[in-house]
Amino acid sequence: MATRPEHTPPPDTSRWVEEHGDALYRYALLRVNNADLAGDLVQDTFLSALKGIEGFRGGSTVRTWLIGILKHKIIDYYRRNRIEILSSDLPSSEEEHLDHVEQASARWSEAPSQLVENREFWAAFTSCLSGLPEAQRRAFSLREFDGLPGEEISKILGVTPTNLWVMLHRARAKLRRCLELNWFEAGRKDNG
Amino acid sequence: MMNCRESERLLSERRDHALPWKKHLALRLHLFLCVLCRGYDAQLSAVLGVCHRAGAEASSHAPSLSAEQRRAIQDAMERERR
Repeated sequence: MATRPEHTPPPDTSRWVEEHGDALYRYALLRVNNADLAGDLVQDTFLSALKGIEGFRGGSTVRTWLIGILKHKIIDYYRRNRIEILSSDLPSSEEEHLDHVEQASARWSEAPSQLVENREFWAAFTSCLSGLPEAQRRAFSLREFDGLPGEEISKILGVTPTNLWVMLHRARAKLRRCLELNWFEAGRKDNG
Repeated sequence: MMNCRESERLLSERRDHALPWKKHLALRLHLFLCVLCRGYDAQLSAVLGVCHRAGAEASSHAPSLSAEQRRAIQDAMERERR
């Protein structure tokens, strides 16, 4: 991709909030699950971007550049505000119960893009995410929303890889179970 | 013989790191024999597929900045520009 030549003026920042504010806010809210904190992180992102505007070379879009800054803000927040790992996040502390189901709803085969844009699914999805313990939610978010490798997540959250795998397993199982009950199973009942 | 509880744990773990070959083979055998664990793995893939999609671009049904937050950000940016 071409980079912005040195003599090109920096991007117009006067419409940034209008053009990118909601996208950044939604990105943050999905990851931190707190409206005030998400708003603060978006504000910090815009202020950092203004200070570092000369660093923007146009190799990416403004939106991608801003999202990159926000992503680092969220990780910094996790590092600075480490939370205590609960005993339920650790191996062998909780009796794992079997999670699989006898008869799956046809709703499981809907495409991710359709589900994300389904208002009722999105409400069930965000509600289920909010129900995860905070440490598990952070680990899950970094792994599944951001695709970070486990080693990096372990360092950010200050947990061992073994404990991280347990946290991720519990988060995935809880989210799957919650969605089964609140979305997929509901669809099966609706369809008789 | 691996049980379903162990299988579910490894179906998650194999998404994070390569399993030791003995566990990998035991899981393959279990999946071959257990339709419920195959179903569970497919459902996990469906849920995580939604997460990958949402992580790249949140739903248009997600909330927007409030008018108050928007104003506060614009004020802070204005102060920064001066």
